[in-house]
Amino acid sequence: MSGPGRKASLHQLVYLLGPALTIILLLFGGGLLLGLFQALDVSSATGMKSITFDHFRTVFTDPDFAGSIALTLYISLTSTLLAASISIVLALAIAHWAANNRIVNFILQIPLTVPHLVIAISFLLLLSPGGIFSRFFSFFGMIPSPSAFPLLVNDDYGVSILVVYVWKEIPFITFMLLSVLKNLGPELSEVGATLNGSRLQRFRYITLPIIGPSLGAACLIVFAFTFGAFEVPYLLGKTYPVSLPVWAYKNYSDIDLLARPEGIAIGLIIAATITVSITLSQVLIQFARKRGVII
Amino acid sequence: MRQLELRNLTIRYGETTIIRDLSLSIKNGEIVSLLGPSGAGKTTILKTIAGLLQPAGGQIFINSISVNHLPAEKRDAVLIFQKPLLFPFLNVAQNIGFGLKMQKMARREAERKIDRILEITELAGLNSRKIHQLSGGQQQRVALARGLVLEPAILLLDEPLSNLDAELRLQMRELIYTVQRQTETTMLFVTHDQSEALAISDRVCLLLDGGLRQTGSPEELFYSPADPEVARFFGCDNIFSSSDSFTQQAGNFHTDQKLFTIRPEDVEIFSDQKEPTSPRHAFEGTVTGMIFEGRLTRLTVSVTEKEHVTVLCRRPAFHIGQTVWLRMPKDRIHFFP
Repeated sequence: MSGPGRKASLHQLVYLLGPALTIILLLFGGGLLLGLFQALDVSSATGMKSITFDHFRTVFTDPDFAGSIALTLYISLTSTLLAASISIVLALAIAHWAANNRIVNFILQIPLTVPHLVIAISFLLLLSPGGIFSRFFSFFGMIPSPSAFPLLVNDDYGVSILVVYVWKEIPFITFMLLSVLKNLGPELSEVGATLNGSRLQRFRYITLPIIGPSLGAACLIVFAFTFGAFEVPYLLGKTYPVSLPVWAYKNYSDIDLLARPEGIAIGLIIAATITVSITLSQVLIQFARKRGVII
Repeated sequence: MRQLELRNLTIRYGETTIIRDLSLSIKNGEIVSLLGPSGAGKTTILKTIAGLLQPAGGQIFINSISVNHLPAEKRDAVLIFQKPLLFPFLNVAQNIGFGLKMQKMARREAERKIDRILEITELAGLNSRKIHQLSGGQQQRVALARGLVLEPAILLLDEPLSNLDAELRLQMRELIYTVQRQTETTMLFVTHDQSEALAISDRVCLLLDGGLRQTGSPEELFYSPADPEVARFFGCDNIFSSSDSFTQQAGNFHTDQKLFTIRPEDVEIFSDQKEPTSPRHAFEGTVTGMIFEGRLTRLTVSVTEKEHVTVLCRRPAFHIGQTVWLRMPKDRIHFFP
């Protein structure tokens, strides 16, 4: 398409996307703005006279904050790293052996279509001490009673939360990497081989730098999602400490209305973290394009 | 010393045999062209020598050592691809030094080698230039430098000029030739362009129908083709039999050898029967085709209803339908063995 054509289509895009963007900006941006006003204690009754960071201060100085953010970071970082590691291996294997295999692509798409909530409830039904697995193993005498089944739900290490996130995020990261690897083809690796690069050296000095930006961008998106996701840790996490989104929800829905601004403040901290992650992921993608890596 | 030797190399893709029983040896410091039409299997041969493909049969020797069992990174052969295939995330010097880094060469020694090769390949001053800031010709020179810097036993070049425009191709061709003479690197140069092969090589190997049809000096292949197909590959359509009626008319073909050829540019053409120095051997024809090809014009002269002679001449003063006289100098005629 020529330059003037692009300008015209950009003009059309504004008209086409305008209504949808307006709604998103109003509902999402408006919600954030209202939340910010409440967290800062700016209300219609008090006007702009009494802006305060007290609620943020309260959150940061709360003895539960450190535990909550540590748990949230543990869940999001661990699941992201695990999903990324598995995705690298999977993407390389698929690119090498099954790049155009429809069945493999179909299987990989399944986790993308299943909502987090559904898989979290499934895990609860399957893996909880009173779940199907524990009763199955008990019935066949493999464990003395259902309560002897290892604690995989509401446990200290958030095993089930991690498994749900890893299961869900692997296809997303794998597809991001596959698009780069398919564009890349085998040639650069072949060049590396004839330039005396061993298999490991080729992975380290050719493949990783090529997929690095997309991997980083995908990881940041997954991190942002898991950092702000509520339903999985709410259903599968233990009751104390709770992750930041669960803590925000509990504060917001507390019968004590005075806890609500703190809930919103936590929500805004989460939103800020997500915004930074998404921005960084876009920076990485632009960086990759500048380097000539097609994403 | 033989840097590269192929013994009865056979390459298959599934059930299809691409190359059958190919044998070839290249001496130290020699530049040999592997010439053949597109799809003849030239790239496949290079990839097999480099270790990127496994042969179905035969043996490959580099530095007199059998390398069939060695992976690509352990063979002392570097392949320069048709496309430059530079690493987009590295600058010029880093690209050139990539192989040295893989060999874990000391930084100072590597820098010295990179600087030297940058000079040789006329890339000096571009060390820290990003790849996307280079022209097509510069990118191909970086790819060449990246291979040369490793000083391999054999440098395999897979049509490295095919993506360049005519002028750049000529410059790059001269550069490869100069660099080869300077560094005495043994090179196997693959191309489908006969002029490239003839200009650059010590020897040319013509690959047709999955095998080497003829190997020899550029002059041998051009002027003394082994068979009519080789002659045709080098642009010579003048394949005649000494029993053809017009050759009888021209006389002096008293030989047992039946088939012969003469290059179109060696056929003499006259508008007057008296013009030939030896009019006894001239024969008559009619100009039936004329194609202007720039430096030369290709004329088709029909000497009988079914027999045609192709003539190449500069600025011809002939026209279609004109009666002309042709002469084939005896010393320019090549009888097929």
